[in-house]
Amino acid sequence: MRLSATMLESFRLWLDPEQEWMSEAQLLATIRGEFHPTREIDIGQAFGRVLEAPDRYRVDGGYHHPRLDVFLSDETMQPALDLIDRPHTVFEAKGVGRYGPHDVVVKADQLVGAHLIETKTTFSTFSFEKYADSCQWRFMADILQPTYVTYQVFVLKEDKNGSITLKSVEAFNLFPYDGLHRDCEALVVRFEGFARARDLVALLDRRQAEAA
Amino acid sequence: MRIIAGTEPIDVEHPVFLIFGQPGIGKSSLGYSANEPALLDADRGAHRAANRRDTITVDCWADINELAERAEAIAKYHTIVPDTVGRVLDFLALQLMEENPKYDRGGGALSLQGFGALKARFQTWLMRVRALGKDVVLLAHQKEDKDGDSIIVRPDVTGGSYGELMKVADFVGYVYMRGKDRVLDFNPTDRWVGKNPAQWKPILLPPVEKATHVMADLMVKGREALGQISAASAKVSQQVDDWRSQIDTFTTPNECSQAVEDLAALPAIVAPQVKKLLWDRSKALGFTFDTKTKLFVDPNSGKQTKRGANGEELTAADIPF
Repeated sequence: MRLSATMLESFRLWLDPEQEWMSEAQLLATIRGEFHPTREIDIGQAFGRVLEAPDRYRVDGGYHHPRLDVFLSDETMQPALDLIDRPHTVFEAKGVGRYGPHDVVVKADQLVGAHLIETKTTFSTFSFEKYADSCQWRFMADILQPTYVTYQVFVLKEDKNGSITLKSVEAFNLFPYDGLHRDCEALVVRFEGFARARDLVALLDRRQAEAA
Repeated sequence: MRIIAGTEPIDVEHPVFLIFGQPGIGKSSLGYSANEPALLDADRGAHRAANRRDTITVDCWADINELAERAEAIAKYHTIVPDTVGRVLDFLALQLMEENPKYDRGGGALSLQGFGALKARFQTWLMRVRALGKDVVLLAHQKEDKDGDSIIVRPDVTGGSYGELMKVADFVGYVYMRGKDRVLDFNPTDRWVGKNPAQWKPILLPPVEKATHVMADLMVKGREALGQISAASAKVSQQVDDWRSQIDTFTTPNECSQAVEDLAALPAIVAPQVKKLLWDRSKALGFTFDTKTKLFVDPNSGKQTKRGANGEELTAADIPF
């Protein structure tokens, strides 16, 4: 099967018996690629695209992503742009890791040498656990083998008139640890059981064959 | 101001350690094993510790804040050890609610705004202490939280300040008993949280009375580990930069295809970066990648050849991609 770290993170979140915000139907839609992004996800995507290529989206007073129709002002973007070591950064570098017979694909937002930087946007209160508990950084650390991972979380607010402002920037480092690979493997094995029970194996096998 | 290039290592002079565990496990004694420590006894439990060194009793945030503002007050110490940091943050929360009723959600709890203020104030305090050249060892009790179906042990600090502590700490270690042994583990597991930049295995601690320089040693090794991480990253950055310079000179599909061959031999952290640079360059040149032949091709010429080191024409099978 060909899996993505994002897919596995959705699965991990769905496993939490106390969560109610993701139904199994939503999880299956995510796995099948039938996922419909929300406005907040669109804004997050636009934010990431601007970080990677600000000149491409430059308009008067800020940046505009035409397909997603998201405008981000200079005030909102500049603190994030200032954090980038552009001459040494590689954006959106992809890696593939092997877990038994399965491939897991990861994509790092930024790599600067052996330092991996993940950029996230949120419209909720910042929660350290949300990111630290995530399996996304674990798979990225296991597959790409950075010396450390930094999460840069941009806490945003959208006004009624649709203007997006930056409330705060939260940054912290996470490090590979003893047992990291074992944790990743265990989640893949658990997902495999779920995929078999829900008849997803053929779909995910096909993706693996197509990518080969 | 000095700009440090991505290819240069950055030294972390004063790492922050956060050590947590259950009461009575010897956290304060560990704190006293730091280099020239001043233990800020907020919990009033220092009298129970072994190998006691200098202790500063603190009763409110003003006492703690004063230490960072008056350099001479802590001049003779090398390490500041808030014991416990949870209690220190409680003092700070009380202070903030006294200063501004908006920070009080009622019932002695901080409002969201209050947590913002607490975060900012604590960060500033920590920054000042480190700017004075002090190492910091934060001690915390443990608490058990539900994590899905299982229980996970975390440092016991109020609500929103937990995330803040985990953010600022470079190293987070859990002290626990394994049989009769006391173990300090910086690795996160499914049973406790941790941060382990040095990739240390679980550390078997000496008996309490003999553990007189554990934290001093760990601080030295931790500093070295963080320096090595930074140096390793700078080295990789240089390697990627060299590739970038080379790829920027490519003008033909052959050059791009030839570089693909080298990808397999590159370290896991370098290969994806070089591959991305290569793909970006070929895209800019208008080349496409033929997934069947595994060669770059110029759609305008339709030519997709690639030559080996001796000029011989290679086929797709020769490329380990």
